[in-house]
Amino acid sequence: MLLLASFIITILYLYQKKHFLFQNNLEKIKIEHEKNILRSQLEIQEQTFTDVSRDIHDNISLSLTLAKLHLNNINLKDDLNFNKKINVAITLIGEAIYDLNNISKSLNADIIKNHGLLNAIENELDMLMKTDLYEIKYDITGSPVFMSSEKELILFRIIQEAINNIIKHSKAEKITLFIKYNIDRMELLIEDNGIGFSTIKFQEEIPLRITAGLNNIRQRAKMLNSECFIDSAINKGTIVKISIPY
Amino acid sequence: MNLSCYKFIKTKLKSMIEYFSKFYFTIPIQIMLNTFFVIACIINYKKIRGLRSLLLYSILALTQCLMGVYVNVIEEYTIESETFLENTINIFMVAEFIIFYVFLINAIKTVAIRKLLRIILVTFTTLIFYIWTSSNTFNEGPATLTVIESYLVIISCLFYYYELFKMPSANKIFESPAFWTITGMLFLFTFLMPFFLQRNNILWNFKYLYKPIYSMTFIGYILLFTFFINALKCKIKQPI
Repeated sequence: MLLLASFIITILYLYQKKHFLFQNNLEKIKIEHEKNILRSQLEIQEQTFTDVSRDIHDNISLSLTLAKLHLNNINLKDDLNFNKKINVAITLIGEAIYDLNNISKSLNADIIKNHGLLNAIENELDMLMKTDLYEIKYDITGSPVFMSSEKELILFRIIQEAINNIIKHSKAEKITLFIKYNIDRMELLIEDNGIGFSTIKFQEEIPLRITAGLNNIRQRAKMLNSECFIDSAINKGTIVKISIPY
Repeated sequence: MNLSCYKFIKTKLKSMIEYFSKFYFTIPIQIMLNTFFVIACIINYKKIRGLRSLLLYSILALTQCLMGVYVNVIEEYTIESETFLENTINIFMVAEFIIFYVFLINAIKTVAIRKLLRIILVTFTTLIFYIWTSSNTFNEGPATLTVIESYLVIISCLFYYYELFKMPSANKIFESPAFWTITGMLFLFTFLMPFFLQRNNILWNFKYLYKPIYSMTFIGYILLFTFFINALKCKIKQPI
């Protein structure tokens, strides 16, 4: 009886010891995970700032500088050129306002909070369609499941990043965006028919901007605990597949 | 009529107390705990999914125990009644083995061990029925078979403890109904095995010690039901 009782007490003691170790490890993993998420968030934020500054520099600043040049060179006596230059300046300022609007819309998370992910995607694709540069195929299957606004925002940023990559690097004509709502997860597919890139090549050989964009997608997908699959081949376009648990 | 009835009850009560005293009053404690467990299980029937087989077991154990008291105290002791009691003990032993083994199979997660336990369950049950039919030993006490049963259950319980250490210790062990149930089984069979191993020896050489030593088995059942009650408490506390 004593032996048996000692046996059980020993088992209890050893198990509890193991349990505490397990809990400690779990706590460490949790902290590490939170740190990673925070780091990813900071990196993503930093990347967003870089993108915004680049957009401001490349588009808005250029338009405003040109507008300023046109306005500076106005000769009040030359009626014909006066009107022409004023009109050009107005067009350039209009473009700058349009670009600013676009940046503001893409950064504003309110659309997700107020109208949901699908409306935000449709809005994004609408803007893309207006350029008449792409043939866009957009399809949703299954009954839409609403996720938390934080999750939807990260997902929206992934889609924005993927579309941004297509616009900037792919030289594609067709873009496919496919969303499938399953019982336990949502599947997202973004495909283009652009120039693609070789996944076999070493990381250094792929242009830095593409890898940064792909890393952004991967990091954001990781934040959603989702599986991310990116496949591409030269002249065969790129596929980004993400499977997100609800 | 009333007086004779009163006298009968008084005599039977006296002989019952005398009978219980031979086993150090372990029998009424076992009956009390067993009854409490049955009632608690019935009241919380909806919440005890996974432990329902223990309700069946405790009903069988209570019936068996009360039958033993009835045959030994209230009814006149005859060879027939003794045979009847041995038969019920045999049936109870098989039911006990099956219920405990099914519980162990469900509690253990390692596929290979589960397979092994299933094989042991089928083989041993078949073997018992084969022995009873071929050698006509159904009317005899289940001493040898109980020893084998004890070995098998104890080894299976040890498999469970082995698995506890092999798997990640994510759950709190004090809140695990399976842990308390299996520990109860281990205690019971650790008490039953030495007694049934030496049963014939005690009967032949130390008959005067038979009943006091037999109380060991009741202590085993008392511990079993104490652990079962603890398991039930953990199960009821768990969110559905």
